[in-house]
Amino acid sequence: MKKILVSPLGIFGLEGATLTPLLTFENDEHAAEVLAGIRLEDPERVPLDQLKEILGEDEIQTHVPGLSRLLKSIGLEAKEVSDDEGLIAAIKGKPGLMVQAGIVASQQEYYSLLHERGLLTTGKLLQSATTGRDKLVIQAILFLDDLDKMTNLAVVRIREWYGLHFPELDRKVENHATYCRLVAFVGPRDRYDYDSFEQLNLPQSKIDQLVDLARVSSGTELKEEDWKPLRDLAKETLNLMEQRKKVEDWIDSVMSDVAPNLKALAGSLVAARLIAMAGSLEDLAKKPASKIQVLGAEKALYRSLRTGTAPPKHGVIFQIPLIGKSPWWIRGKLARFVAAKLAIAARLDAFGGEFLGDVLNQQVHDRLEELRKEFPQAPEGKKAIKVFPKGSFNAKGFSRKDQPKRHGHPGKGGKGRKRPHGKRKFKRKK
Amino acid sequence: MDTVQKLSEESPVYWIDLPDGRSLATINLTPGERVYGERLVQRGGVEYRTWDYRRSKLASAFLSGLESSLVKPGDRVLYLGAATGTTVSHVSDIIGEEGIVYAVEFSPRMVRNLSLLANKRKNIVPILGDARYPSTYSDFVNEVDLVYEDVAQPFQAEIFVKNIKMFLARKGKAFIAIKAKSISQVEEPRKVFEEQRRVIASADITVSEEINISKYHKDHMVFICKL
Repeated sequence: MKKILVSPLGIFGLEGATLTPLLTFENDEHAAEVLAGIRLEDPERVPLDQLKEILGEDEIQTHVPGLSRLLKSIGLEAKEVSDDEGLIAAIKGKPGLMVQAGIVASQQEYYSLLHERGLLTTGKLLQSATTGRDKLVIQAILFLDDLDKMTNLAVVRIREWYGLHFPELDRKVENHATYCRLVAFVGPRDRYDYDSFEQLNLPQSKIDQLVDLARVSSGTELKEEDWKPLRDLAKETLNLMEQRKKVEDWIDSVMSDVAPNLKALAGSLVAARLIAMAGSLEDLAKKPASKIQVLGAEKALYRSLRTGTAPPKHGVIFQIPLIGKSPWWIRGKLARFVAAKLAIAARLDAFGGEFLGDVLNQQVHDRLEELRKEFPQAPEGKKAIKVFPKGSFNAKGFSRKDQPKRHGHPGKGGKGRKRPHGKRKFKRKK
Repeated sequence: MDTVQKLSEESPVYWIDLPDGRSLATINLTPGERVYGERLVQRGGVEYRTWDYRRSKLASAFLSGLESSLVKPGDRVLYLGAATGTTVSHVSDIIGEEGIVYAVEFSPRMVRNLSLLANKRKNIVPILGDARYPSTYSDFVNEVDLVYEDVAQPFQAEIFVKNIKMFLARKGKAFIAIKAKSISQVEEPRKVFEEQRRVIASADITVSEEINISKYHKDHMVFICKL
């Protein structure tokens, strides 16, 4: 049996308290490459053939799990040991042992090499930790939230500013983009004639209303030169909205590559959000379905654990239309099912599995049908928690105005405060 | 009255008088360099860095009665949960060029900053690693005089024990900051601390001091331990 000690200077055989070099590192770069390779268990970075030749058929004990697994993978009998007294003493006493064996002249030299090689190795590990494309997606989805904040801030200002000139327009045009286009491309009220609206693509009835309204407006004058800064702001804001669309499209295309299964089940934005909340695709894959189900509902979850209120049924997965739009009494059952399928999808995506998105999706739809059949009506005696009052679900989906004011809901704002359009509640990870 | 006052003889941690009050401080190992927006103060030809107790459980523990001799010049320190290196930088100041601090952190984003810090300070070895598995970084870490843990993990006492067993010198000491809320959201902090203490004691590690820092960090407790 052979004991092996791994250090920043090389890999050594250990007998009693004497070291025999098996592989000495030539320089800092070489050391970092091999040590990072051992940590990542990457056989291409560790000279395994060379080690195999020296080690022979002996049974091997080492303190570094990565090395023992690598050696095992080339057919050697290797074991990770963490309680062997001799090895522990050697781990602790590396600086002294290295000087004794004449590998370095002094402990000072050892520590200085340790510092250099530690920095380099960590640098290499960092590189491999951040190359995943899922990290790009996370930044992008967080940027979407930033963009929403920025545009909202700008639109509020524009409405206020232009409102001095044309106060009636605020109520008349609810769509932010349309409002900005009116400010940017039409401008002062005296230009509200039919020619100005050509490029805006508005329905005729709306144009009629606006032209009439402009004639009787109670706002103050707006000179051409006073309009300009406002116009520029509106144009920039429209650019931001354009930008949002582009980022969304980009996420959509990258998600087909990074997490096709998740995308098929949850849609690219919700899937990206789930990855962002977990920290990475792999982190998401390691989470149980029950956690995925409530990601984004932490506040409600911890409230429930602390005070015993009902636990949340869904976190961000509520934003999957299938869940959000199904009747309240089966929504929890469906969310549980979808979360389980999402967990499978995440694992497929993270660990290079095949594409089963359509199969999983079919299962979800079947389950929904099943639930609908089994529970066609709201259970009696139980009162619906009025998340969405009657009539919210029409052909167009639900409208924001129908939402009750006093219910905290994931992704839908907190107690009683209506969030501005498009803004989502989403906590960044530290 | 002196404007600079040592907390204790053995360790270079100071009270320093400033125009707007007084603050803990250490002597800057890399004069002119700021780490996290702290203040640099010149006194008698020496540059001090103020030490914000709100951002450091070690500083809070010193304020709550912990002997500053816990960390001394020349000490070898294993620091678990180094984050971006705020407290690590002060430990690095204290131990000086003769000492070494192995700064272990799990999050790559944090280690990026830590690496930048270690570029300038030769006594810091940044390690991207998981404190739950000390053997994975046992290639770099050697015997240490102090194991310092601030990881806010559910199994932080178990992590603490494993690292002590592997790296702590026979006469060394260990510091653990326990955050009750990351172990249980529900249980009363006092009970959580008791339970953690039991875990540590059952591994033949003596808890020699208990320092309540909840005045500065809500629901936090510090244990000082030795073998």
